Amino acid sequence: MRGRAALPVLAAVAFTAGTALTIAVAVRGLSDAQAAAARDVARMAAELWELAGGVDEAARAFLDDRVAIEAVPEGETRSGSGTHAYRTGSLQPAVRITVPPQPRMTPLPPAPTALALLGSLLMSAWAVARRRTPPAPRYPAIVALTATGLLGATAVTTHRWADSELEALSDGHATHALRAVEAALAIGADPERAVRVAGLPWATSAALTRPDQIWTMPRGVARALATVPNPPTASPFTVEASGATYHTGLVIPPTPAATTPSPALHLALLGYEETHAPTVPLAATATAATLLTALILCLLPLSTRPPLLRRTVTAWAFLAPAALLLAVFTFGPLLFSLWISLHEWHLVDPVHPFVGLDKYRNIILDTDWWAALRNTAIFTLHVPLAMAVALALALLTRGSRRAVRLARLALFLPGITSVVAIAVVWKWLLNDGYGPVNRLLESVGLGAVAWLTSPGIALVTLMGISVWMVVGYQMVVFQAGLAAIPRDWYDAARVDGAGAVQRFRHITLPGLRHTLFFVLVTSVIGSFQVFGLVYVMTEGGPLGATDVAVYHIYREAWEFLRFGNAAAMSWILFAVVFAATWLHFRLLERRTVRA
Amino acid sequence: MRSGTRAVRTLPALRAAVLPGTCLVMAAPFLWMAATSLMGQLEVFSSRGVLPAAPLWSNYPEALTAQPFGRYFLNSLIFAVAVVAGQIVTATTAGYAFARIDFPGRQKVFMLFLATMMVPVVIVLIPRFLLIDALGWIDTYQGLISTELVSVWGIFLMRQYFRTLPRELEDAARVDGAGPFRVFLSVALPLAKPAVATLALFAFIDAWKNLLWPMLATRSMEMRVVEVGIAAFHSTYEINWPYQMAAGVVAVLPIALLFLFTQRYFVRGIQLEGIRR
Amino acid sequence: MLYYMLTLRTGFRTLAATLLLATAACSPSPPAAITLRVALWAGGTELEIEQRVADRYETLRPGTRVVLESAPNGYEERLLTSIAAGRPPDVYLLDSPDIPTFVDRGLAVDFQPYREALGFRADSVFPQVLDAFRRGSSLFALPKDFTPMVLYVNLDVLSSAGIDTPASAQWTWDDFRRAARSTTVDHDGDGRPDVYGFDFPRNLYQWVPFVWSAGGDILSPGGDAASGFMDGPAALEAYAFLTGLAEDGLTPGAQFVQQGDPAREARFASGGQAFLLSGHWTLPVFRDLVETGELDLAIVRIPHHPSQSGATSVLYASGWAVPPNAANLRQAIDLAGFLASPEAQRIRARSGLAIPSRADVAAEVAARDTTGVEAAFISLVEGARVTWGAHVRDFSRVEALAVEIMDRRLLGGEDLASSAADVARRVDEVLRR
Repeated sequence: MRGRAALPVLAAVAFTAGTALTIAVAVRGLSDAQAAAARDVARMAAELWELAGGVDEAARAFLDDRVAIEAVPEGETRSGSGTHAYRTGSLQPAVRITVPPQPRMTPLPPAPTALALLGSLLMSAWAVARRRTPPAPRYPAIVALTATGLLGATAVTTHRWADSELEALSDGHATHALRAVEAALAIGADPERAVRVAGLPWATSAALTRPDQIWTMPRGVARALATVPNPPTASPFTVEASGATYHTGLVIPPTPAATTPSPALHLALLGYEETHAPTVPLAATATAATLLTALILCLLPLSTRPPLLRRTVTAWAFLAPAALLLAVFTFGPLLFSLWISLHEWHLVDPVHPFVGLDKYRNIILDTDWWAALRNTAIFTLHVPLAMAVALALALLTRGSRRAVRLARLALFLPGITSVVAIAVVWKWLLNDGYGPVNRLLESVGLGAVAWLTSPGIALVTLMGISVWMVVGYQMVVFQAGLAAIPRDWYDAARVDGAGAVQRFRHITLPGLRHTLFFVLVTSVIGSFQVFGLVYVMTEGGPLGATDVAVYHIYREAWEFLRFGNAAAMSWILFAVVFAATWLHFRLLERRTVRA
Repeated sequence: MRSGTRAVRTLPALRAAVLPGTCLVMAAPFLWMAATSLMGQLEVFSSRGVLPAAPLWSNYPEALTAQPFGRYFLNSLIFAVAVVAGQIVTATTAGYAFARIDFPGRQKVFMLFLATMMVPVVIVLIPRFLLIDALGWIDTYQGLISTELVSVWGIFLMRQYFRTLPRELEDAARVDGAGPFRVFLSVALPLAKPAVATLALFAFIDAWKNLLWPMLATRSMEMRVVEVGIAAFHSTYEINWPYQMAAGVVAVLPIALLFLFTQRYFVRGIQLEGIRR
Repeated sequence: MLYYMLTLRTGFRTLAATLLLATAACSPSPPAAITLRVALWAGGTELEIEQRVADRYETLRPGTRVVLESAPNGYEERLLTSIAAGRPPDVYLLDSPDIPTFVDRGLAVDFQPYREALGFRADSVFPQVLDAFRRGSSLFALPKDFTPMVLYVNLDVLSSAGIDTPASAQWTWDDFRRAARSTTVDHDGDGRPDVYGFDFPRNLYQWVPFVWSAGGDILSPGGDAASGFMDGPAALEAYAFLTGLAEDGLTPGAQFVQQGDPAREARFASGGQAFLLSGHWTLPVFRDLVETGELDLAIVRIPHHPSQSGATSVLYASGWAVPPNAANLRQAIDLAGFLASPEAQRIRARSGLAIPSRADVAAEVAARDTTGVEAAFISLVEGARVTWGAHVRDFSRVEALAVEIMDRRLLGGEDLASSAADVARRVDEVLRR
């Protein structure tokens, strides 16, 4: 069997590639952080140069001559490598400052590399051995455990190594920043300006007593900072807040003679391990490699049943395009949103402390959110009605006469028109005062209805419009389903003397069961996701009567910029819809299969 | 339909009675949109009637040149066609695997796929944007298209459709020695034409009407799509309804044409007899 | 400090690099010249005019390319995501309600040190406009243009009801109510007025001048509390006055959405409404009609309280800001300086969407305008206050909550004092965080 020999080799290759990639990710993350640190040091040097009014010595002294300063020719505006420095208030660059990154990092992490090599050797040896002797018809648990363990160990040691390297880089950078501040103070800059040279979050002691005034700092950190004895005795010191560690330094007062740190200003240095550690891609790569290796090993016991093995491999070959795209563009982002829901996350804030299930707890207590979910559930009740109408229309518009073809197009039009444009039309048609619908009602002696402006009616109106919009879609799907029912079944039934109603019950409905199930499940899911209609028609109003779940989430995320809440709500919604869908499958699909 | 039972005669009668009215009701907002697109800017609000006093055909060229709609249409077309092609590939293959190949964990993997439909798109927009940005694909066709290439809805549709097809034909091909890909390509896929047509149509419409993602993923006017252009008419500063409606009417045309073209595929039944021979 | 961006950015980059290797795609080589990206929300004609400004800059600074990235819809979404991705535009247009979000987070460069180099003179800019972008001595955006909220008056409607144009100095709530009552008429006798006096100002940005003019405010002077202000006596008086107009049938039924009644401008222009509360941005819609004589229009200030004298208008401004992590910071600052310069403002004034932030350019525009409307606008700047949104973070949440006060009265008949107290309490919670 070809598969028997190929699978172990494949597993070995997957293992080797996985460990190599894991290490590469860490190395790349580190070199990025290093380059960024070098750029930032160059920037500090440039700011010192500017502070000193164009004296190269200031920048050079700061970096022990590690810095290269060259004049920029007149008229050159292109920014190449390095950082430009400017004379005060000028917009024309005067000099270019470059700082070569210091080769602090070992080119390859020793422990992980050794582990990876060892694992690859073991896997290869095993693969060769498998090739010689026929495989046992069992899942190779020991091999799987070894592979998984080694991959995990490689990932963990790689992360440790990256962590310590980053910590060293971070410490070095903190030292640079503090020295830059000292240099700036020595030049005669005022403390605030000096701290800004370091380019890091900073705070005055006045601000420290009002933690929420400290810009760009998470509140937890600011609060922790405020509790540090003032002035602190050690420099630099660290603050633990919300599960993260922040390095903090002190500012030396402006007079060179003074030796005590100034209580006036504090520096909060965000550690590189907090901002640049390649934890996520590292974990992602290691997990992917582990899964792949495990998957291949899983196939091994199947190799004694070649048909099953062949089917499994074929199935995954068929699934590969969709699965790969979904993994990259959907599962990845979904995991990210799960992560967001557990952290204090703002698009532009630099740090994201872990907050656990806080957001979920808040949301569970939020009555507005539950009202939105309830509205969504009510809204979903339009699905059966829409399906009934769509099925009736699909049956009425069978055939291919020109009139019928045009009728189908007319019924399909609502679904294909631009939502933005059609919303304008509906708002006009349903306006309380000048809307043609109310005029028509009044002219036949009925009272006007506040279609969109009454809390009791607006949701029902939206349900009606939604039916109008989706009927065309569903009709088309039903038509495709009807087309799959062989015509000779009808002919046979007719010969047996079955009437139209009987044919519908005994041929059309059973023949459509997969289609009906499909339309029901997707429409219910779609209806739980309703957003555009509410967004353009009612903005969730009046008085929250049409506030549906996804619109609520959208506002939370984009209007109020509370992405953590939005992500947590999404997952709650997900749980609800998943439960509903699972019920559908339990209750309906089994039966249709048996039917 | 030679048979002369009563029911067969009542169906056309019912159709003649119900259908025209329903069509009119369904199409009314669109017709009103078309009528408005021919009105003057203020006529929309002042006219008591529904029809324009004198159709202002010039609204169309004016609306379509107020923004570079030619370019927008080209972009929308490239976007939609690429999405259709991608979704047909991903959905037919995956749907076939879920419907026809019995592999371990099939139901679980399918539920996992289906689960992705249940999380609101608004929440994956940011991660997707960051990913596309990291790839350097912002404001490019590949950035616009790549996230939309797979539709779980389409996979589900194809799975359901493949399940309705009788297995005998595929078995016959398999007995003749055809491999699984061969069976899929030459037997199952041709039989699934109605569903593929439906999928293509819906994928096209979804791409054509997609507003949120193109809004984020593109920056320049050169990359803008039609729907974003229409929404731009709607923005705070422009209250010109006729232009907006004119653009809306023109934007519907490609889909309407596609619908007229594809509907014969999903309306015509499968010619089982023909294949059996 | 923006240099410490998202944790995940590097992660994504690495992942992306791996993917790139896998797909063997190549990244585009960097362009030779400097490209400066400008984010703004212009559409249509406005964008064409901005493009002309950008073209002019390109001829002034050879080797520089200016790319306008306009997003008339979803502007804030796109701006924030591009900043989060670490690739912010070099210059972006900052709207007054977004000032706290961007400035407090350190996302805008202080222009103070560059004022000399840019030739920017503070005294040439309307002071209220400048103050919106100021924090202490720092200036975080160069003002582009602005608009106060005013009342557009359809003079034909007024004269057919036999009312004179309101004289600005004495114009009070009582006069306004009287004018609205006598202009609301049912010509065809179908029981529904064909001409209305006004339309219900549902959004906070529309009704806040009424609270101010009654001598009150919606927030405490520090902007940190709403209780006692949003539900204070002056505010309640304003709510009662405005809901009274609606309940007396002087306005068409309120549309309970932010966008308001889409037909209001057209109704006003076609003689179906006497007064329209709006900003300068509506003027281009009417300009053609005014020039052809189809519409006789005047601008008056929002009426003041009969016995109080607070601000009678709210002012919205936008300015050009530069993110501190812009790839070409100095060039970006230079471009922002040009975009706010008199030359650029003169080119831009042709679009007529807003009032130039520089008083001298605004005066030139007013002098060229034969209808006198522009001059009227400028005269109303005096009594205007800048929006709270320029100073209070999360103001969009405050606005979203505040609409409930009068909504609950009009929809559920609730007592204004109780709904205002409830909303004020919830606004307090928002401000406290």
